[in-house]
Formats: sequence, structure tokens, C-alpha cells
Amino acid sequence: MSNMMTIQSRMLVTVGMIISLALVMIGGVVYGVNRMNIAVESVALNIVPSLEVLDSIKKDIYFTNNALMRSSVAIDPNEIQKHRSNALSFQNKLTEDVKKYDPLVVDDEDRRLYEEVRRTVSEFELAVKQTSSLDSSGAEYDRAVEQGAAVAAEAVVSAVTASWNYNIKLSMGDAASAKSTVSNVNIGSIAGLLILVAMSGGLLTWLVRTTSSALGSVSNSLGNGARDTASAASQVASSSENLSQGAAEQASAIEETSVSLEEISAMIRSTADNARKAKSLAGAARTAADNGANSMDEMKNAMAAINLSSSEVAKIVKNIDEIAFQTNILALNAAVEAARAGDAGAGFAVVADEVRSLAQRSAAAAKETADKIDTAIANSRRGSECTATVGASLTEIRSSVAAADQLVGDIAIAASEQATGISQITIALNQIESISQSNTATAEQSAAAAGQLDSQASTMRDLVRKLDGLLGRKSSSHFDSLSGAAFNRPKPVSRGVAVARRPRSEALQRPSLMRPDAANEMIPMPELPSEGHDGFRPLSN
Amino acid sequence: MSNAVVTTQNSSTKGLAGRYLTFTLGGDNYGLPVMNVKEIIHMSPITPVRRMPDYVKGVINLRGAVIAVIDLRLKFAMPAADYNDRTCVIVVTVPGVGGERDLLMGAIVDTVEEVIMLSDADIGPTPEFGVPSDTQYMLGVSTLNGSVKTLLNIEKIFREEGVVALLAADPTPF
Repeated sequence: MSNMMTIQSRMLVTVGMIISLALVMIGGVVYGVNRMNIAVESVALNIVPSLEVLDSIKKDIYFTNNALMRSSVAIDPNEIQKHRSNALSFQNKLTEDVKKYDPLVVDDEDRRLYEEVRRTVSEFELAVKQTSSLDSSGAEYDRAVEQGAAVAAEAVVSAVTASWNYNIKLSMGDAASAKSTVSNVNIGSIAGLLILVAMSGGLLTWLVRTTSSALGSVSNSLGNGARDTASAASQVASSSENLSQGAAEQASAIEETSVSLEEISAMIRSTADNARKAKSLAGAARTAADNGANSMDEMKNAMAAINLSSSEVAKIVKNIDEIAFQTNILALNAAVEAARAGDAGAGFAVVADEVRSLAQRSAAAAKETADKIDTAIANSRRGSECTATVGASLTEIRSSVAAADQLVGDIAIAASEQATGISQITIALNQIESISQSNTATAEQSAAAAGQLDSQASTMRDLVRKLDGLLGRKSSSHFDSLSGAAFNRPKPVSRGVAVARRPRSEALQRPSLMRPDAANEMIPMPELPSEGHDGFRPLSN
Repeated sequence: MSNAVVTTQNSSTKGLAGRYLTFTLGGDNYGLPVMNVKEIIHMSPITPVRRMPDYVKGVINLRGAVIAVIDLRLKFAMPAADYNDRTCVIVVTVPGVGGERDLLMGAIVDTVEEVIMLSDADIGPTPEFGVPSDTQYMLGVSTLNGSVKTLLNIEKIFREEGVVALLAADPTPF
């Protein structure tokens, strides 16, 4: 239950209780002092003035009475008058003094005595008044004075004395009450002081104990938290180191990839150029093929014309041949007739022979011509066939060129698409590279954060130590000796360079000094003060 | 014994010398005595005659005269050939027998060569074949200029009926 109270409330409670106790004590003292004051006041402001007044009354009575007695004794009328006027003045003063006592009455007994005094004073006054009416030289006057006034005066005096005694008694009572009050106050103060001290001690102890236990638990928690933070910070540092190394490797891989991409790009460009050239060449080839085909057509036409002429010539030759044949037959007929005619037809036979030879010559010439024509036609046909073959070849060339053109077009399209793809890949690579760089920056940041975290953890450890010192506890042994020295910030990764791994040995050297089993390796320096080297001491606290 | 043509003076070949009209038939050379030849004409439209042997092609109109023509190829059991512009009809005079007047008949031949003069020395007898064959149609064989010409007997060809196995055994010129 008391754990739930905050330190403020505890302190408030403690201080409040102490203060209230003190207030109680002070109240008691004040009360006692007030009571003493009352008594003192009573004495000072009431008793003493009462006594003074009573004393004045008494004196007045005496003086009055004395004045009266003197007046009664005196012979000189002037002295008598003087004494009587003195007595009168003293009487007036008496009256005034009696009135002065009225406000000083404190209780009923005092009132009673005062009334008694007044009564006696009034009787005295009466007596004096009686004397005033008398002649001062007479014996009645002396009698009145001696018996009336003096007796009355004595009555007054006794009443005043009674009142005086009563006042004295009152003052004694006041003194006694004051004394008792003082002793009460003393006792009460001492007791209250003791109680105050005891309660204060108890409350303060309670306060301190609970506060220190709470703070101690908080300190423990802080210490644990500091240790956990330090370990987490070291983990973060190692992960960020891994990350930065990975980013470095990634960057080098990206560099290689982009080099390859550039080569591919160059090849694609050259492919595209070659495709263009091939396309233009294919176009030229097609044009040439078309020209060739046109020439072929012309040649075909020429050959057809040749054939036509040849066939016409052949027809004519055939005509000639027929004519020769007919002539031959005629010659033969003539020879036959000549032979049948016998000797008479000898000359005719000669003529027939000549005609026949002529016909044969014609036939021979026609045959020769026909042969030539045939040769020409055969050549022409060969030419036609060659033309057909060439035409077929040209057609093949054209189709091949068309196909090649198509393929080259496809190649060009594919090359451009490849170039587009390569540029997209390059863009993606750039993105990856920027991401990798940002990863490196992130790794650096997290390493820096880890370092900060660790320094914060060590600060926290110092604070905890201080807190423990304030609380008077021993520094807990759960503090590891790992300090911020284990955290080297990863060096920034440069682009395009295959970053060699950071030598981990130097990062691990200092922690190794701090391992318990490494204490033997330490150079012993026992004389040096160990302040400020807390974290480096072996765990043998 | 060889099948070679021997040109020997033979009494059977006496009297064969003279002018002969040579023609070709199925690539082979033949000859007809000029005396039997009336004239030589080109092919002209033949009017076929029914119910005749196949070698009798029909009749033709020769300047108003109707003449029967036979296809010598078919007559000699050679494969028939198409008629071209060289094909000629030799109009032969077949001597009448028994007082008949001479017959004019036509023989379709492949080509007509020439009229040559053959002496006795040029004509040889019909060679002896080891196979019995019908050689009545052959007057003889001439070896002028190294080419073998079979000289034909007109009367036998145009008069005799029957299948001629002559040319089936025609020796190939060597």
C-alpha cells in the first residue's frame, strides 16, 4: 500500500505529520504562554492597578482623614479651611479612585469586597459630609471627625485591606497558575519534542526506506535496461555492419551488371545498325532483283521475238525446203520421163539432173539454214531456259530478299525492344543502386544510432551508479564491462569499388581486453588510481 | 558362212542394170526400176476403200484418174508411220498380165531419194539367209556407196497377196 504512494505524497505525509506535531506542540506552548500571559496580565493589568488604586484609596482615606484630623486639631481657621479643603480635595480624589477600581473588578468576591469598600467609602463620605456641615472649631466637629470619619475611615481601610488581601490572593493564585502553566508547558514541550523527534525519526526512516527501496528497484531496472540496451545496441551495430557489407557487395554486383548491360547495349546498338544496313542492302538487292526481273522480262520478250522470227524464218525455210522438194520430185519425174524416153530423153535427163542438183542444193541450203535456225532456236530455247532459270533464281532471290527484309525488320524491332528493355533494366538497376545507397545510409544511421544507444546506455549506467551511490548500494555486478568501445561506425561504402571487408580484428580487440579470462593478458598496473576505469576492470568486483 | 552381201556376177542379176528410183521406207533404202515408175507426187487426200486389206489405203485422184494406193510399210509388215510433207506416192505402172492393160497404182513411201544408174557390178543377188524366208519381192541388193538398197519387184509386190516376211529378215547394213 505504501508502495503506491508517490514520493511526493510520502514526503508530504511525513512533513505534514511533523509539521502538525510541531504545530500541536507550538499550539500547546502558545496556549500555555497565553495562559501565562493572562495570569501576568491579570497581575499586571488588574491586580497591580487594583492594588495601586486600593493603595491610593487607602492613602486618600488617610490623607482625607488626616486632613480632617488636622483640621480638627488646627486652631487657625485658615489652616482649618486649608485642611478641610485638602480633605475635600482628597475626598474628591478618593471618589475618583474608587471609581477607578470599578473596571478592575474581576470576580464576584472582588465585587463584593469592592461594594464593601464603596459602602464604607460612602459612609466615610457621609461622615465627612457630616463634618463639612459642622463648624470646624467645634467639638462636634472633632467628634465627628474622630469618631465618624475616622471610624468610617478605618472601616474603609479594613474594607480596602480586605480587598487588598483578596487581590494579593488573586495575584498569588495567578502566580501559581502561571507557574503551573510554565511547568506544564515545559513538560508538554519536552514531551512533545520527544514525540516529535520520535515520530519524525520514524516517518523519515519510513520515507527514506521506502523511497530508497523504490529507487533501488528503479535503479535495478535501469541497470537491466542499460545492459539490455547495450546488448541490443551491439546487435544493431553488427546487423547494420552486415547490412552495409551486403549493400557494398550489392553495389559492386550492380556495377558489374551495369557494365555488362552497357556492353549488351553497345552490341544491341551495333545489331540495330547492322540490321539497318542489312535492310538497306536487302532493299538494294530487291531493287536489283526487280531490275533483273525486268531485264529478264525484256530478255524473254527478245527471245520470244527471236523465236518468232526464227519460227517465221523456219517457216520460210520450210517453204523453201518444200519448194526444193517439189523441185526434186519434178526433177525425179523428169528423170523418170527421160529414162522412159530412152535416148531421146538423154538431154532432158541432163536437164533433169541439173534441176535435181539445183533442188538438192536448195534443199541443202534450206537444210543448212534450217539447221542454223534450229541451232538458233535451240540456243534461244537454252537462253529461254536460262532465262527461266534466272527468273526462277531471281524470284527466289526476291522472295529470299523479302524474307530477309522481313527478318531484318524483325531483328530491328527486336533490337529496339531489347534496347528498351535494357534501358528499363538500367533504370531498375539505378533504382536498385539508389536503394542500395540508401540502405548503406540507413545502415550508417543505424550504426550511429547504435553508437548513440550504447553511449546512452553507458550514461545510464553511470547514472545508475550515481543513483546507487546516492542510495548507498553497491554497484550491481550485473554490469557487463562492454563499453561503447566495441562500436566502430561502419565506414561509408564508396561506389564502384568492391569494398574489402573491414578488418574485424581491430573491432574486436578492445572487447577482448574486457573478457574476464583476458585479465591475464592485461599489463598489471596496480599503482595507478582506478578512477575512471570502472568499465575496464575485470568482472571481479 | 557369213551373211555378208557378196557382189558377184550372177546370171540371176543379169539384166538388172539400169536406172532405179531409190526411196526410203522405215529407214531403209529401196529401189524401183525407173521403167515401172510413172511419176512421183506428193501425198494427197486419200479416199478410203472398205473391205480391203489394211495396206490398201484407198484411192486418190490424180488429175482425174483414180488410182489405188497402198502403204508399202504396211505391205511389208512395218509399223505404220504418220504421213508428213516428205511422204510421197510413187505412181507405178504394173504391167498387165494376160493382155490386161497396165495398172496404175500408188505406193506410199517415206521419202523419195533419187534416180541412180546401177550397173551389173553394183547389184548383187538376194543374199542367202539361214532362215527360210519369202524373198520374192527382192530383185536384188545394191551396195552402191556403202548403203544397202533393196531392189524391189513391182509385180510381185502389187500382184501377190499375202503377208510379206521379207523385211522382217531385212539385214541391217553394216
